[in-house]
Amino acid sequence: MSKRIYYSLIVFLIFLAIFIRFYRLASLPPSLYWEEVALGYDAYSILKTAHDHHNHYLPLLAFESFGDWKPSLYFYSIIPSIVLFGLNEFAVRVPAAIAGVLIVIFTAKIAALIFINNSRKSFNYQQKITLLTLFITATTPWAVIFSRAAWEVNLATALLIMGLYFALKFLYLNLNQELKLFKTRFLLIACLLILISMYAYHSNRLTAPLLLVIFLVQLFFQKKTYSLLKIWQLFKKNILILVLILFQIFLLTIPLLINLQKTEIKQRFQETSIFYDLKIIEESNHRIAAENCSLLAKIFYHRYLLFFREITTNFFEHFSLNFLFISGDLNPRHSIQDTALFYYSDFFLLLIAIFLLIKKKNPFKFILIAWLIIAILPASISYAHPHALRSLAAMPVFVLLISFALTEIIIFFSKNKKGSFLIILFFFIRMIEILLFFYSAINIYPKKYAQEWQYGYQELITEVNKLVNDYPDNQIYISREAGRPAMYYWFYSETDPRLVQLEDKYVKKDQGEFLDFKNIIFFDQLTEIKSQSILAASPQTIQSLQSGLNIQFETIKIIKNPNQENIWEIILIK
Amino acid sequence: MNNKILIIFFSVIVLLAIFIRFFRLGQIPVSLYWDETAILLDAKSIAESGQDIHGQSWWQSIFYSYGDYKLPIYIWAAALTIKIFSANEWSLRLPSAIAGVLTVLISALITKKLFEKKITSFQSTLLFLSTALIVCISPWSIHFSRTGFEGHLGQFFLALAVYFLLLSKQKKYLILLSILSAVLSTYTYFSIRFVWPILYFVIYIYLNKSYYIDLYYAQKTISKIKVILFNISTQLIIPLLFFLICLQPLFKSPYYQISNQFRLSTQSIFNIQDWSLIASKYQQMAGNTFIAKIIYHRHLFLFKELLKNYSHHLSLIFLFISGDSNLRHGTAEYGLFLFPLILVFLVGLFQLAKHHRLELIVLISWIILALFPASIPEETPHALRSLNALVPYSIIIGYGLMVMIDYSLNDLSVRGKSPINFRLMLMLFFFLLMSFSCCQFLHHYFIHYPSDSAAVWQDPYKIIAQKIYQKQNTYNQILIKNFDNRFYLWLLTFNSYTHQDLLKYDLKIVKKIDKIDLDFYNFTSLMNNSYSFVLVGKKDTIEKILNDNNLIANELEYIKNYNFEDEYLFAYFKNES
Repeated sequence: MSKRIYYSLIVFLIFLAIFIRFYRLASLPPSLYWEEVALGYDAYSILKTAHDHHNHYLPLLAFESFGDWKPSLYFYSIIPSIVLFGLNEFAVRVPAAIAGVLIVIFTAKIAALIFINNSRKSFNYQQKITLLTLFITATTPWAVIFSRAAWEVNLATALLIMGLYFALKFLYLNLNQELKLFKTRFLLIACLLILISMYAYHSNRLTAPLLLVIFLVQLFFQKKTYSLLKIWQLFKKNILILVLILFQIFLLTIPLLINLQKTEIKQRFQETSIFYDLKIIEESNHRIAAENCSLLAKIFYHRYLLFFREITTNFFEHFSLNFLFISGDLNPRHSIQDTALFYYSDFFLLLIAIFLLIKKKNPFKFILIAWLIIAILPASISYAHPHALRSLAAMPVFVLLISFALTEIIIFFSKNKKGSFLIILFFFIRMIEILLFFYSAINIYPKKYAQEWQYGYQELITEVNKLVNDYPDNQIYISREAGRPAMYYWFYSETDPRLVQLEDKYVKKDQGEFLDFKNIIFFDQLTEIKSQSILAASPQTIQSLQSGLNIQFETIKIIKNPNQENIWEIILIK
Repeated sequence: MNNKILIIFFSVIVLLAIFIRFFRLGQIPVSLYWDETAILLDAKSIAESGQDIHGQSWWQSIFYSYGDYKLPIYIWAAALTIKIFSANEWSLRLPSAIAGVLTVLISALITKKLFEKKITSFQSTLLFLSTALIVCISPWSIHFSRTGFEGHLGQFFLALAVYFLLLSKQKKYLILLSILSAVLSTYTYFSIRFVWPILYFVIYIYLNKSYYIDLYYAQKTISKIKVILFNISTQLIIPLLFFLICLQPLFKSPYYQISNQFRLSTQSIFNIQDWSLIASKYQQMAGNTFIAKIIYHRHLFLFKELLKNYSHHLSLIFLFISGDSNLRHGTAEYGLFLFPLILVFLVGLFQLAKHHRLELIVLISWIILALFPASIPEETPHALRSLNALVPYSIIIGYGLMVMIDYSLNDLSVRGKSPINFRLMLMLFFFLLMSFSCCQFLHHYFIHYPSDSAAVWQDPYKIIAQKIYQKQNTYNQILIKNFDNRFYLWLLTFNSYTHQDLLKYDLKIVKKIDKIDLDFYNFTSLMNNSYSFVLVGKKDTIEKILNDNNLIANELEYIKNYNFEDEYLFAYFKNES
């Protein structure tokens, strides 16, 4: 392969990745989910007033949002795109999409780094694996899905992968005895990126430090490397780098460590961790009591053993064939349901990859396995498993293995004509699978799962704002049945954040969500309605209100979802 | 390893297997499930008179039983043990327990044959022992050895058939024995008729691979086609035809059609959802284009559902952590194999892929075929229906264990310095872990499992049945508020009804047995009853009936279940007249 073809292919594949991630980004998934709106509006609030909508000044660790304390980095990353594109769906999703493209690029760079066999250190192999990894990562459903909505986890994973790339680069140079003085700064960048990812997503607060530890372990036990003494001598020549590394580690971990016991960090852990689940402890106690507290029962049914069992179960659920290849995550936002996280043909590639990895020597085996385990750990100690979102950091490992197997297969088969036919056949099948995925994602998904994305709010809020202009003094009621209408209201009417901050102290709230704002009431149930007021709710709710409160009304507007079902009805009470 | 040590180790494993399978056999699981009770009733009847409960001869290919059409072998085996011992839970479950112990032996023999001359003799001995050990302590095998389910006996005969087939490479006449035990297997458990022919074909290819390769390179003077045709006809077509002929009595049985319908009527991937409706919805959403009609075809949805069910069976959690959630098929807290073996399984899988690909293909095809009948119904994963995969799984794990032990001992013989080294310590630690896990399982199985599972084993039915029988002498009528349509099975099984008695009742729709009314509902008429009677049923329902109808019983007797909770109630009414 000549260099010109190689580079043009790389550019083509990166453009493919960009196209897949940016094509109709604002409307596919069909609308903004409430977490996305919350991210967007708080970013807007920071941009305008330097305070979030709860009036906290530039939160460092986490934003209170709906009381779930979302990590802060994604909020700040939206600000530039709001400046550029305004407060809309596209702006909110852009950082995740960019992160998605970065994931593609850096996964390919990592592949070219770790699968270089010393015996076959040819440029040819490197080219092949880079191109194939770009192709596989760009089109893998698991990577695509989380790049197309404002998923904080995608940003966190991108940071983690970039950090890991630099860390691995350092290890690689060390391994090949090419470590020079100026290369030590790779370590600086690696630490910075990995540690910053802790500010982007909850899981990374666990995975990032563990991965750094694993990296150190690998450095210490790697065979054929510079001795630690030599590394030390390298640093000694440029003590500044070492000081900087230690300083940034200190700087980035201290805020987390100080606040460890505060709600900003603890809240989320308590909500999701299985360690706060009493069921397991109760089971242990029940079993021990059934045997009159005999020693044997105390050992066999010890709560730690039961917790271990629970964690291993959750862990292995992420390796279930059903989860990875057949139906994916049960949550329709985390997987389009028709295609799972990977394609069917990836199953065989993965098997081959594991087999090859066991058979062949590879200095980075340990890191890969540890990375996989650590990435799935946060999802294993929390509820709702298998969980494609919380275990996204494991996605690159799978992709790396798949691309590795594919490269080896292509090299193995490209020796003769029959083999080339098999390769073409494989790519033909893969193209069909990819097309099926996008066909479903474009034609079926937005219609079937529109409600999962709270479809309809944009139209609703524009309509309500029109009515506010027409009837400025009337009371407005908006039903909460689709979830968090207040946030959508501010987002789509670009309400001045100062007004929200002013009301924050006095207003009635449910889990951090406003229950009224100015003359709008966001309701669950109504016992009375003022006449001449405007009400928006689903047709079912309006029917029950009509029979319950005996009201007369005229319908102003009906809003339909992409499946042509009525989801919102706006009425004027007489 | 010399033979003496082999024999010692092997007899320890077999003794352990016998102990685990026979210790309190018949008492744990706590009582008989209705399928088992029905088998016991039929077997009792056969042992007594040579006829089943409906008066048919015992020599029939499908038993009507209570309307679920049972295959004969398990019933015959149970009849035999009942004839030798006596009619109780122990003798009913004995054939299965024996099959369990024999499975330990047969799986070890299969591995020995399968890897013969492909590994060193030391490894071969080690493999023999490790496979036997894996089956011996597998919760899957232990549990089904202790229950009277036909599937367990069926999987033993299937393994036996495979063993004879492997042996037949040297002694061709053994194909006959192989086919015969496959026939036995089919007459024990329905689904084997789908599994066996394809499995036979796979193993045939495996055994004759080198033969065909030799033929390919042979000189052209001999007529190849004739030889191939001869080989195929004698070793493939004739045996399978023989298999089909042996199954003729089954196909010709008057119950065959209806029993198939009965089996198809259960919830399966074919009827769990209306696939054509789903497909048309999808096609509509995608705009009814030609492409949409192809990619959202209903058969593709069906196929995806089948794959999903397969994946449930192949899940590592099902295999090693939690097993079948149905308490009748396992403890639901332990997998089909003990948890530490998950590592050994993976080692075995990849070592086989590295060194013995053909054998691995045979084993995996065996597993895939065995899981097929289990993946059609909707209740997945299902430990009982997938039982035919027990032996191949055990062989893979056994191979992994052999590799690990061999690896740890290798180091010892090479260095020869100190007997304490890292690998050996690791292996010893692993064995410790395995023994811990094994003890933990046995502890759970014998102490906690009985009370966990008593309800699904229809626990106090036997006591109720016997009590009702006793009360017949002193009361004019026994009125049962129906709590289980098949309760009559217990009533007839655990009391001294003779075969002649059974023939008097119409056992296809049982409503009344002498003084016992099995489905009584007209409670208002009881108000003015002038004779003495007993009202029997679930505690809550009977209490409600007494309340609603202002009935005052002379005496109330509560029947406790296994966990000492009052569950059933006898209300006695003694009207002197």
